[in-house]
Amino acid sequence: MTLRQRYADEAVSESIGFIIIFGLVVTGIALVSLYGYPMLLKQQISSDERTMEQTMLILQNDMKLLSYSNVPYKDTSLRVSGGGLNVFNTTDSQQSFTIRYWNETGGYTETLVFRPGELRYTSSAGNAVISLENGAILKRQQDATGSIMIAEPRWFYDATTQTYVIFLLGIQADRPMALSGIGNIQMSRIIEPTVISWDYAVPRNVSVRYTADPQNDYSLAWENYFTGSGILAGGLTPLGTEYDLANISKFVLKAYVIRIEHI
Amino acid sequence: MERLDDEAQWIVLMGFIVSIGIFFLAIIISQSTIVGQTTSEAVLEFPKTEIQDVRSEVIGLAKAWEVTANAGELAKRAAVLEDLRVLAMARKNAVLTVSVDPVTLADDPFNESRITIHFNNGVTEYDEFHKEYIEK
Amino acid sequence: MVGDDAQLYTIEGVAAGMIMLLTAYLVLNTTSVFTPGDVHIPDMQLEQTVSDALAMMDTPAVNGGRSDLARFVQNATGSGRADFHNALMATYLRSTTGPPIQAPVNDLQYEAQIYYRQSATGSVQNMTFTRSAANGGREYLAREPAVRVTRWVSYDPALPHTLGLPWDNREQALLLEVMVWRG
Repeated sequence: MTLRQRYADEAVSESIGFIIIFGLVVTGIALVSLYGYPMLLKQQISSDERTMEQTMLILQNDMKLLSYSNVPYKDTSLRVSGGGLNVFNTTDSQQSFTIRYWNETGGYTETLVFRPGELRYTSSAGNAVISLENGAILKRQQDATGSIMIAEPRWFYDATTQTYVIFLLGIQADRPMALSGIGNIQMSRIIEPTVISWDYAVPRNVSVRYTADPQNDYSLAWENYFTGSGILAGGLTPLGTEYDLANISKFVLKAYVIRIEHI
Repeated sequence: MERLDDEAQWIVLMGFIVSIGIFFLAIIISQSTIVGQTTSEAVLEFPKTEIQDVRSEVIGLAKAWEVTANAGELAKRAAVLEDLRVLAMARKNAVLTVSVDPVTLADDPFNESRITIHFNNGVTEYDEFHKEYIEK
Repeated sequence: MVGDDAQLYTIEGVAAGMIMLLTAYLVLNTTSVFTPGDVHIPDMQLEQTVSDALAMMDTPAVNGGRSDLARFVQNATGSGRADFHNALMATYLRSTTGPPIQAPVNDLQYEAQIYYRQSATGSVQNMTFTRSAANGGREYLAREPAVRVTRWVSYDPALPHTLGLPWDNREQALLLEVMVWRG
């Protein structure tokens, strides 16, 4: 026998139906704001940081044009979001590079201490710090000890002529400057670089030491650069706190000063 | 309260679908900005014209320099090559060493000039050994 | 009488609209990337243009002959200056295919320096060769974005040259540096 049941809808309340559907809509909105919004915020922070990394690359390129291509002025518009960009004068920077090389005429080892100055972006929503220091772009997290180098400076060793070339890029700012939001950075390089150039009769050693700012420690990034293959295949030899390169016939060091006039 | 028609949820659903679509597009756009920004700087960095320039200058020199054993003439030539080296380091921040070595070829209407160019600016290293044939 | 049909549709439509608007707002906020990533493209073009112009100027008309640029540099303290200016600004940077037109390069300004090595001291010296400001152009004043293009030129004392050249009177390689900007 077949049982045919009639679908009874007399008891269905339209109010309850409305409440159920409205509840679904509200739940949907709630889910979007609960999961979607934090996700977007996180996306926003990482996108701010990435934008800043790119902006730093642009600034690094501008500095390359100013120093290696001998262009006197460079203005760049940029947007700094989710944090602030600060300019540190060479004299304000705690970090320093110590370079020891042989003075051929004097016949002694000379020591040069160089304070690079810094362009530093500190994220306020996230915890990334991105710096442009001595021609390199560096990044670290505020709560961690490590650091990485995003873009390397152009130091090099030419094996054919045994020439070691070091470029130092100092940032000069007459007053403390900071930027958050859209702005324009004006840079100039009018002063000729300080050049140290030696042709050694006997191959010599040149050593480099990076002294980090304890508040803003990039020693790991620099260590990786010195020991990596950025300067020469195989890297420099670590000797204590110094990074040494032996058998140099020609040593060239150029120290450029880039002035940040306005930001 | 009016009659409830359950087909109406399409409107909300479309809202969600469009929103999700926009969201994904946004992620793709934010990824794509990484690409394309390094092209111009790579071209600025790559010393194509510098190498071409050095090459044409050195071959021009080689064409003018005949085989000689005259010490004064050789010193003059060494001074020109030294100019290239010093100026390249001072103005272009590049290591540049050049040698030009003319050789007499017997039973040949041409003489040979052996040229080596070594260029390195930390980004690009370029080495060339070139033989330029010069009519006797 | 206000029609009270389809109120629920209206509420849902408003909810959907708000969701879309909210998403669009968040998305625009998070991913509007202000990257001046292409700022170096005009620089690159300018550099290439001027470098090509100098290369053309440095190409001899016949094989083994002297190039125009070499001749200008031989006369660097005399007629070479005006000749260089005319060649660069009037001939090469304005050359186009087809009938001659006033190409939009009139706003190009330049400053040319010659770098040389003094063999006595081994030091690098320079002299101002010529600049557009000395030939009716404009000075470099307003921090215009500039590029610098270089070209090697040989100097031969055996060939005719003007007096008062600052470099040593020996066969040598000189470096001509031209700074160019749109001003």
